[in-house]
Order: sequence, then C-alpha cells, then structure tokens
Amino acid sequence: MGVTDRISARAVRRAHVLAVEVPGWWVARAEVERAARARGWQLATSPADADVLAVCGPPGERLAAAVERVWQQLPGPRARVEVDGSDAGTAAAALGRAAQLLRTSGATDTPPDHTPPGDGTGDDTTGEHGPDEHDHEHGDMDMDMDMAPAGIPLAQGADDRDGLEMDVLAVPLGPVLPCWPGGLVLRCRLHGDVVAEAAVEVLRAAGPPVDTTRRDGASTGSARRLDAAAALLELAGWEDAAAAARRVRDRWLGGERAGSVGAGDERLHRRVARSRPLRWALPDDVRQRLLSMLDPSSVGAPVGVPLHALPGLVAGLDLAAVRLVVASLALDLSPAPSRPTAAADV
Amino acid sequence: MSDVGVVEVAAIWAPAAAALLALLAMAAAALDGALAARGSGLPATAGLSAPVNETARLLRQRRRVTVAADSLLWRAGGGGLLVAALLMVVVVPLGRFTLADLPVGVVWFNAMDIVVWAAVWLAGWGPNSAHSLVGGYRFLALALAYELPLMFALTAPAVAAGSLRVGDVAAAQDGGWWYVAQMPVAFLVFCLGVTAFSVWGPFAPPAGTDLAGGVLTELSGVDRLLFLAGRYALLAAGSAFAVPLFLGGGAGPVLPGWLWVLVKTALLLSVFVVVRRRLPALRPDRFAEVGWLVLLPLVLVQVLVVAVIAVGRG
Amino acid sequence: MLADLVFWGLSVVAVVSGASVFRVDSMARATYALAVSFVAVGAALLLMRLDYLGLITVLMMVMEMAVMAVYMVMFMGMNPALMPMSMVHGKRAAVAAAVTVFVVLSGGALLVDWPARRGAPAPDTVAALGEALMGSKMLVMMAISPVMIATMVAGIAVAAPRGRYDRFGDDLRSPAADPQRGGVGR
Repeated sequence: MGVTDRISARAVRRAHVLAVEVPGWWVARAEVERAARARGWQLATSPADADVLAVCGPPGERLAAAVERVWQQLPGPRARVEVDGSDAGTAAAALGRAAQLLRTSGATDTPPDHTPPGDGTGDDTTGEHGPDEHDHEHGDMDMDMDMAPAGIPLAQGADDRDGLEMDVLAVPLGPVLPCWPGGLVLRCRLHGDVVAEAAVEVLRAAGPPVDTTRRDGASTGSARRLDAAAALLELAGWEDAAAAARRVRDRWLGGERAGSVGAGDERLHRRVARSRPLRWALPDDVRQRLLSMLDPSSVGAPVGVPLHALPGLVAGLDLAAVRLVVASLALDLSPAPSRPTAAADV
Repeated sequence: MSDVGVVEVAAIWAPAAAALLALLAMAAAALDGALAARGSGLPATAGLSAPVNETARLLRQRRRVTVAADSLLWRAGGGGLLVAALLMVVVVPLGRFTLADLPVGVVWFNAMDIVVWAAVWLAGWGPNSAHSLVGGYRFLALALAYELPLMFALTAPAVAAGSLRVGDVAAAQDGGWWYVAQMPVAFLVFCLGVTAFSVWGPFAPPAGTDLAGGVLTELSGVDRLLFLAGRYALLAAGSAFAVPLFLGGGAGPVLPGWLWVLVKTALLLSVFVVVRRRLPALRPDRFAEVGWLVLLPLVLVQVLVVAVIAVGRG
Repeated sequence: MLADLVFWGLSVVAVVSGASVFRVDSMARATYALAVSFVAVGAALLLMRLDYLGLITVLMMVMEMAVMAVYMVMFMGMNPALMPMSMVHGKRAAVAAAVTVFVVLSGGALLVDWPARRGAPAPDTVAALGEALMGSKMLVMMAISPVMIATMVAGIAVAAPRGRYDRFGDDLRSPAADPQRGGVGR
C-alpha cells in the first residue's frame, strides 16, 4: 500500500495535461496552461502522453465526438475535467479536481484495450502504409484491390508534387492537437509527408466564450498574439523563446500594467529577431509573421487569412511546413457574426 | 596520468557501470527539468525531481496497443536506445579500469550509434501511425546527414594516436595538448553527432512537437520510459566517450583518474542539456545539405591535417 | 568449448533469421531479420579475433538495413509490405539447384582432407588478412575507393530528373526554383 501510494503521489506531481481548445475559448486554454505550469505539470504532446484531458469550453456536437475519441486514447490512469470559465480560478480548480481524480483513479477507470482505426476527426491512429512508389508493370498486382491487412484497406496511388506516383494517406490534422487552433480540422491527403491537397472545416463550440475577468481589449489582443507566437516558437523547437513568450502572455492575461509588460515584450521581440538559427530554420514568410506577432507596436489582430484560402496555402508543403504556416496565420476561429469564415459546420 | 595502461575488469562489474550510466542520465534529466522549471517561472529546484516523478508517472501508466501494430519491432525499437547506450559505455575507461579493452574500441562506439538508426526507425514504424512513421523517416534523413561527418570525426583522434584502442587514444594525449584543442572541428562534429543520435535539442524533429511527438506519439507507460531514458543514456554515453577521445581521459591534477572522467563527462553532459532549450530545431530537409556540403568537407580537411601531422611526426 | 558453443549458436541464428526473410509477411520484418543474420555473422567474425572486420560488418550491415527498409517499403510496400506474398519464382529449378549446391559444398567441407595447421596465427590477424588478400595491390585498392565514390555521386547527379537548367533557368542566374529551399542556399 505504501509503495503504490508513494508512486501515485509522485506521479500526480508531474501529470501531463492535454488541453482541448473549443473555438473562441483560447483564454480558458491559456489559463489551463498557466495553471498546469504553476503546479509543475507538463503539457502533453499527444493523447498517449496525457493523464488529464481538460476540455476548455463547451464543445459542439461533432467536436464533442472528437473529444470522446481522444479520451478513449488516453492510457489510464486518467482524468477528464471541464473548464467552463476563462479566469485563472476556474482553471486552477479544474486541475485540482483532476489531481484528485488521478490519485484515486487506477483500477476503476480502464480505457478500451484496442483503439479502433481512425477515420475522422481527432488526432488518432489511422490505418495506413508507408510512403510507396507503386509500379504498375507487375501483372499480379491486380489483386491488391481487395486486400486488407487487419481490416484496413490498402492505399491507392496518385501523382505527388514531384510527379512520382505515391500512395495516398488521408490524415486529418486537428481538431485536438497541441499548438493548433482548436476546432480546426485540416483533412490532408499526404504523399509521404508532403500534403497534396487539404480540405478545411471548423468544428464549432456550443456557446460563446464567457469572460468574467475585466481585461481590456488591448491586453487581450496582446495576449492573443503572444499566444500564437508561443505556439509557433514551440513548433519551431525553440523552447526557451516559447516559454518566454508564454510568460509575457500570462503577464498580459494577468492584467499587469502595459508599461512593465511591454518592456518584456520588446526584449523577446529583439531576441527572436536577432536569432540567426531561427532565420535559417523558418521559411521567410513564416518568420515575418512571427516577428509581427511579437512586435509590441503592431495593433490588434493580424490581418486574417480567410479559411477557404488555407488549402491553397498548404498544398505542396511537407507536414512541418504546414504546421508552421498554420501557426503563423494565428487563425481566430471564435464564433462571431462579423467574421468572414467559410466552410463552417455544426 | 596512466602509466600502467588500461586494466580490464571482470564482467561482474557491468551492473555497476550500468548504474553509473543511469545516475548520469538521471542527473541530466534533473538538470533539464530544472531548466524547464526556470523557463516556466518556477524556482529551478522545483524541476530537480523531474526524473523521479516522470518515472513514477510512466510506471503507473498503462501501455498501449494500436491497431495492426508490429509489436515485436515496436518494442524492440523502443528498448533499443537504452541497449545501445549501455553497450557504448562498455569501452569507456573509467580512469584505469574498463569493462572491455577492445583493440577497436572506437569502431565499437561507431557501431553502437548505428544501432540507434535501426531503433528509432523501428519505433516509428511499429505503431502503424502516420505521425510516428514520419518521425522515423525524419530520423533517417537527419542520420544520413550527420553520420558520415561523425565517422570521420571519430577517425581523427584515432589517426593522431595511431590506434583504435580507446585507452591508447587517451594515453596519447598525455604531455601534449588535448585533442579538443588539436582538432576542434572533429570535436564539434562529434558533439553534434552525439546530440543527433540522442534525438536531442536541435535534432529533436523525429520526436518533435509539430508531429504530435513524432516517434513518441503512440508510446506510453514502460515503453515510453525506456525510450526517454534511452535518449538521456545515449547523451551520457556520448559525453563519456568524448572524454578519452578528446578530453585527455583521466588526466588532471589532484583528483584520481576515474573522478576526472566523471567530472569531465558531467561537464560535457550539462553543456548538451543547456544547449537544448536555446536552439531551434533543425529541419531535416534543410540539414541534409548542411551535413554533406559543409560538415563533411570540413571534417575531411580536419582528418587530412591530422594525418599529415601524424605522418610528419613519425 | 564455450567459443564452440557460441559459434554454433550464432550460426544457427544467422541461418534461421536469413531463412525467415522469405517467410515473414512484412517488409520491415524481412529487412530486420536480414539485419539480425548479418549481426550474427559479424559476431562470429569477432569470435575469430577479426575484431575490426566483425565490427565493420555489424556497423555497415545495420546501416544498410536501415536504409534498405526504406527502399523495401517503397518498392514493395503496396502489396507485400503487410500481406503474405510468395517471393519465389521457378520453384522446382531453384529447389533442385539449391539442394545440389548444398550437397556439393557440405560434402566437400566434410569429406575433403583439410591440411593440419602449421604455425600460429599472426599477432595482428586483420593486417595479415589484408596482406594476404590484397598484398602489393594495397595502394591501388585505396586509390580506387574515392574513385568509386566519385563515380556513384556523378552517376546520381547525371541521373537526377531536374538538372541545373531546370532549377536555375536558361541563364543559370535566377534563384533556384525548388519546391522547398535547401539548407545551404544552393
């Protein structure tokens, strides 16, 4: 009894949280991240890595189904909490509940043994085969059509970006993915890791964001752009800068005076602008957008790209570049009547 | 100052060597946790218990099985990193003592870091998941770029010492400049190779956040623990091997040889850990050109210089 | 005695995993079964005190198998990567030839009157082996390897579908039109 309890106590001290962002509730997700870090918890990179699933905001029907699929993939012991407010107290309380659940969970909560093959939304395993070149010369290849190892049909071939015929793999990115706009689903057709074409849709929330804190628009706007910059820096692999961006974001969200936070903002901007390795690693347009995100003098939200232009932007790029481009666009998927979004769904 | 030469100890000491490696790996993980805590605004000491807590969490976590996964290859890949690291330290002399005084110790180290190629790709192929597979292929892309420079960087000290035996290379640095000063390009490329085969820092795209964890996407529980521990163990083993090869082995004033080896290993290991957070990730498609067009010619010139000096000397 | 046991164990591993290359259903498994076979052979070389050769065999073969797995999945992935496939053609002739060769070789190994050993092995077996194999032609062999590499690289450069004129345009001066920029700005 003693050893198991001690192991559980230590394990709960470093739980990994997967924060599900419902469109429009990015503040709640940012508060969950801040609360998690304050407890010494880490942010999960994938469902297999997560102990706690924190759903920030009320998901709509399809988004809830996606969240359910992700929940099925968390290996036990696991805890699921809903965060229904955008203030720090709600987030901290939710994580406290999660810690309690984690300590007592274990034998009572057993996820299914086998995850079914994925086909739709959610960051899950999809049945597939490695990138291939398909050679039509062999006559006995006609019988491939009805082969299905483990019940998953074999992939079909198509011409890729360089004119080679490669197998096509359908991989949906999102709606639950770290450092990804919550609720956005980009259904990619991959050749290897190059995106041939993509289709975009947004899974909506069940309700508008609830913000009980009294933050002014400028602070929230600055926090928003720093949040996007933090996600992009995290994807670029520069953890120090991403952590610094998150700290400045938390200071904006915490309602600190603009003067004191602005100095830190400016320092971060200079540091990222000066970095030669980052200039080498990032594509030019992504880097320009990153710098404008970090620039304290840029007013309000960056000029948005309409969602229906996204597939055209990402076609022909590999997965890493796609993630960077989407993160650099800092898409705002909040349900607002004035926003010219397209490809909407329930 | 090894005047006696290297003494080979019995195999019964192997668990002690493994424990020492585990200790170094945990220290590296603790340092990484402390730096991460400091980055999040917490006091650094809050992150020192990171390895213990993470081990407890992963031991408590269930393992996962994905659909149509190749379990045999998957688990083999996951555990392969730790095995490679343990085999690497077998040839590293701790002062005067070593587990295996192979006449071709340098080649042994090289062979073990090739085992990592197989391990990471298998860990990417096994779970039948798109992100893992892309991570595995990314590792091969990076590996093809860094491996040849690393091989030549390992050749340079061997040429200068006239022997492939690790003890001889350490002894050949007695009385003169250490090889880190005589062949700095080889040392830098070696360090780059160590971070690369540990999937660490700038070479972390195979396990990167933009792939939802890449090779680590579907790993959980004990398998994840083995993989993550293997990364730290490889880092420690690489640092330990740099000591006889470039940093003079156990040479140094006051302290005994084995203590100097540990101190130098710890110093190099902490440099690796600190560097991780400060550099962005290297994209594999862009690093390929750097590896072949910049690093390989540089390190070849380095080997040429070393060889000319060696021929001139004797 | 122990060395004999280890040698027989390694031989069995090498043969069995080599045979399993043709029996397993997955290209990745086939490739790594071959890798295991090669590693067993390398370990057997280590037993014969050919340290360098044994380790180089292990090193090169594991590296090759890692790259070969990529090619096997690429060229044979569609059907045979994960489905049972028969990889043999012309079974009867092949079986006959294989059995005949095996009988001849093993008969020779068992029945030939091997000479008794004279003297002791050289202190540096690898160097002695190198001398015996290449002798006075050592310099030629060493000069040939960079020529081989240069030939391989030149062949790949010539065979590439997009040459300099495709990438840079006819005047060879405009910036390269690559789908993704390389790391050195070539």
